Amino acid sequence: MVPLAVISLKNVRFEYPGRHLALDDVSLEVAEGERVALIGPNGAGKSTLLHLMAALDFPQAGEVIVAGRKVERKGAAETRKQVGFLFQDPDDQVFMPSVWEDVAFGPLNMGLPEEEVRHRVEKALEESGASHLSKRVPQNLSLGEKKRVAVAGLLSMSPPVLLLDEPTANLDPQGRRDLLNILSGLKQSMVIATHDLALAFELADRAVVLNKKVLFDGSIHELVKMPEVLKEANLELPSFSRLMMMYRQHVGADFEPPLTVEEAFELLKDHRS
Amino acid sequence: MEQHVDRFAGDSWLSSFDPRVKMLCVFALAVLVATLTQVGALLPVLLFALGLVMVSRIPFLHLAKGYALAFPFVLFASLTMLFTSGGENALAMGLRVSTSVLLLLVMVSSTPFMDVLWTLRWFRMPMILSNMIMFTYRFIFVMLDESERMRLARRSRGFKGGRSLLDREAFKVLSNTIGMLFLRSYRRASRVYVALLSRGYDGTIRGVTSFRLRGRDAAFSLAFVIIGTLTLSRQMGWYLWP
Repeated sequence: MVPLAVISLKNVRFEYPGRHLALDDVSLEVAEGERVALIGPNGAGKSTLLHLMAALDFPQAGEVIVAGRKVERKGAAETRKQVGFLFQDPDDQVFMPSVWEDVAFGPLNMGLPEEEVRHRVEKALEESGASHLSKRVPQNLSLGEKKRVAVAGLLSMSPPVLLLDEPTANLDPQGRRDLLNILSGLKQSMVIATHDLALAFELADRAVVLNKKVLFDGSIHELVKMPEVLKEANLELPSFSRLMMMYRQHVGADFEPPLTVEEAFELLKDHRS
Repeated sequence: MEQHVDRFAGDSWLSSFDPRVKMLCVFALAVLVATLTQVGALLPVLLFALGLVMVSRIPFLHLAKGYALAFPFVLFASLTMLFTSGGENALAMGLRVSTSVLLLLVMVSSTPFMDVLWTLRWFRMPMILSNMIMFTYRFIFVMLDESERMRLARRSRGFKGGRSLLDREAFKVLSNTIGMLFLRSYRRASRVYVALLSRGYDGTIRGVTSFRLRGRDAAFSLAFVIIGTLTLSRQMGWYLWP
């Protein structure tokens, strides 16, 4: 059985004022439970596409359907309940004076009863590893902590789809790893806009390469075998993948480019033995 | 240590009282104090305010810093009175403003920021005003961080500041920086608004805070009523005590 599409875009075109074209004839679908990496260089239209999916902007042509509902200005608030949007800069997103109140912001706007709100907040804080921050003030948190709080703010609304805009931008390696661990444990459908291929390899099953148009739509394994697509999108494989490709060429071996450090390590072990 | 306005609110003995009662009592007493003209009537209220400071367990240094911000105004008002109406009126002016500032400082320091906002909302403050106060409190630090980064960027490229306020070049650089800061703040505000929308914002900030009046709140109010009555009687000349 074909999984149900939670997000569907058909021939979408979007221009910013001043006739700056951001997206042209973009069509794609995201199935229930699927994790899609939206990959592309700066200015490729990744964030714009996420805004369209979240009913924060509206296309000039084509249509966007989220959870069976066409995205339009009228009724946009209902569509927004179906998607959780993680913004690139957590300072834009964590706006309440305390962490607990910020995580409760979404559920309260959904009109949930107080007990349910409290339950959701505690659960979301726990899932995002931010329970110990609940009484803190956002301006005193580190960037990694703010990201966790922002994730908790999304989870408390229990949306079926998560839209993540450069989720690991500016995080230190430990903060990046912590966030990856949290995100990889979530069950929701995800669209992850990034130019960090290592992150895409780790989190997503499918890649969509975007540069105002869709340049590629397929599995991550297929993408890494298409250097011309990566080049057109100003992207580069992670260093461990490139190293393994050089090694493959050097020893004349035949294996697919590894997607994670662990995969690269296993390949090296197998090859040595 | 975290630098934010709520850092003493949880530990204070006064934080256990209903913030609506606290706010009403403090404001009523502050208004009464503003009408007093006699030093003899002002002294008991000042002592009462100092008593509140003692029992509140808010560090004296914290309150002193808050008072120091208001002190230039106290000084200016008192000096003006000194040169126009004499020493006693100057002293009364100083006591009036100092007592009011002290009362308000104790109230704000012993009440969590969001409780102050919910209380103002309960007293029918327009939503847009309380939202603006809340966002200002949240984002003023982000803006300060940004201006600090811009200051460092200026210095890293050799800008040393002007020799005087009339230095046109320095003035130009600072004007540009302020303009850029406004632009960045505007962009930030746009992004924050989009983030608010994405989480269901419809112009109303909601909360789960619920206030409940208890016996202790009645006792707290009674203390204010007693000190208010005594002070007023002294001012009006209805001597209840010698």
